[in-house]
Amino acid sequence: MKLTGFAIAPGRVLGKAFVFRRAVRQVPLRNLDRSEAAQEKERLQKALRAAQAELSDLRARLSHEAGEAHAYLFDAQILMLQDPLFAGRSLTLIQERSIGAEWALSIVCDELRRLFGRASAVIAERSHDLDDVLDRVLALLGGGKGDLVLPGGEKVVLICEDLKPSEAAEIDWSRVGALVADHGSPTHHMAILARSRSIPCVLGVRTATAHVPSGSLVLVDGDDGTLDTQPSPGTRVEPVPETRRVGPFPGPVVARDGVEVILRANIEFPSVIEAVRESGAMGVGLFRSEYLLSRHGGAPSEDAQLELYRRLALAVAPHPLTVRTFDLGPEDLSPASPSSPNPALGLRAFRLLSRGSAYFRSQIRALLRAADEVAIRILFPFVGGVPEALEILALVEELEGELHASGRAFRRPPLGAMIEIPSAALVAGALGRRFDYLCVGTNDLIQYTLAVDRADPRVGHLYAPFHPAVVRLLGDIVTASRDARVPLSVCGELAADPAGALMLVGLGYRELSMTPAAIRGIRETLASRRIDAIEAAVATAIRAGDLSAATLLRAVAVERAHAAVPAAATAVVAAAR
Amino acid sequence: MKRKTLKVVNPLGFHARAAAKFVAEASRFDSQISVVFKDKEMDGKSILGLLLLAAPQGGSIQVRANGRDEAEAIKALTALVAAGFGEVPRA
Repeated sequence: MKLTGFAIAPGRVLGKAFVFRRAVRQVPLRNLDRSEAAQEKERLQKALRAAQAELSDLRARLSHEAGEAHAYLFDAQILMLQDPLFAGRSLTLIQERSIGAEWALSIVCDELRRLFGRASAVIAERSHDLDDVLDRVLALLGGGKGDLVLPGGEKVVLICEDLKPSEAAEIDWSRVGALVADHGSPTHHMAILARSRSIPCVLGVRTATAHVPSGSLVLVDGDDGTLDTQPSPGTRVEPVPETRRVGPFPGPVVARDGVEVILRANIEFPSVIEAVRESGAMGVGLFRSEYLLSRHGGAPSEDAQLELYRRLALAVAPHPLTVRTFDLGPEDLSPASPSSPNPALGLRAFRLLSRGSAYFRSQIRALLRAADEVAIRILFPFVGGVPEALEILALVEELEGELHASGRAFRRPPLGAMIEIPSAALVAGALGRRFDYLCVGTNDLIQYTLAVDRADPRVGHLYAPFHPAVVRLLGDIVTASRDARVPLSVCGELAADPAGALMLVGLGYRELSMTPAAIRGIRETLASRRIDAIEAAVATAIRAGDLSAATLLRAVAVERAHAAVPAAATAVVAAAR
Repeated sequence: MKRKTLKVVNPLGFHARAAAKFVAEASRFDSQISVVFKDKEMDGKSILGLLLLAAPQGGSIQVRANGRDEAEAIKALTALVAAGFGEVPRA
């Protein structure tokens, strides 16, 4: 029988199934003779010590693989093990009531769960930690190690309903040839795990655990997203070639002189998130969130937005999802309201705050909540200067207060300002001292600087990214951001054009965000050149007053023909001078 | 016995990470340590107890220490709470 699910990580694997079924733990309720209490207490102490050793070990592994920031959850669990309210109270109960350790533990945990339930919502979530600790100690008291000990010999095909993160952390992945689960989807943590470890993987198969007995031979196809429960006897599979594997997460482009440039993707619709992953982008540098409004006729609820942001961010994890807050006009808020006489210069984005505040509030609340779990960055469009910056930051602070008062978990993500109005470009340093990063929107910056509407065919030819005024502004923003020590990026079509990307990198930009389709080409453009040579070529052309797409491409093109000789780059620059 | 009243400044209040840090710090001292919030007093070396206090941001807590190193304990724990457990976002 062939079962189908989501194709998560490629590769075909023929192997023996290891089916993991989570046992429902039975808590033995034993009464003890008085004389046995001391022995029972010693049995519990031993299990607690063993649990602590396991957790310390897991903590060390997690801290090594995922970073210290994630390891703290294990600190809390380790402290719970030693806690007088947990360990101390259980030991007392064994003595006082003459009951077995398992019974005592479950009484104590029931009491604690009740107390947690009465505390705030943030605290109530911690009862999961308590359950995890209880499970671990009960497993150790049962004598056996957990159920996830994989058999020796050949690698197995691990088949499960799903895996909790704590279970995933326990598995010896070098023993797993492929992963199949009944639940899960491309954004599930199992998918991220399988891709990061290059393990062929199919998720969302629904009935895999019901159909496959442990030990039977199965064929997993991570390309098609199928699980064959009875492969024909003659089936042979090629070992997964290294080059076909997804491998670790994409990193920056490394130019020939070792300088790194980060490339991220601009997206408008959530459906293209798959294309973002395939493009090799380091996450999303610009999600134009207005899509949410046009499709639903109004803004989706805070919870619906939270779900969407979480899903998108997980799909590009561990890289960030940068969400630009609604960049809308009055007509978006209510079809009846008159649009501005000149929409590009009218009521737009945060200028609408006093009228459409509900839109911004629910969006920012959803983003703050999503940031507690996933890597989010918020980007505010159409900032004209410091007063707007202060207004925005005050609103964020106010919303944080609301979230806290209602007991919601949240975290402040990096907050950034779009530099797309010339006034913002001219005070970029002051904005950089208030925001966590700046992002230049070249489309609007060029349009406003040159007073040219690119969409108007009669003046469109005057839209000139290489205009000396634009180049000067772009260069000044780099200087200002360096002085303010604030990260700087570009999102705009200029970055997707090879000559535009060269100009930006030559001016000092090191983070570009563009449409996913352009990423491969820009990666090649930059990887085959030296950044110092591009910078020199741009500086030379600016001094000579003839910086254009053609001159720039010519100045750094020769280098490519002599790619084998690194010294050629310097020669070209010298010649250009 | 020494006691000191403090304000919880970090946004999430006495949540898991903060409580874990407090217990780790408190456990370095011999003195008996407790934390009072509203009408509850909990063992300062018990993470479950501190979580059950559920002290939010802005909440006023009292740290008490009793023992030979009580002065040092109060000093160290005051610094930890005042620093928002190292997680106060910048202004």
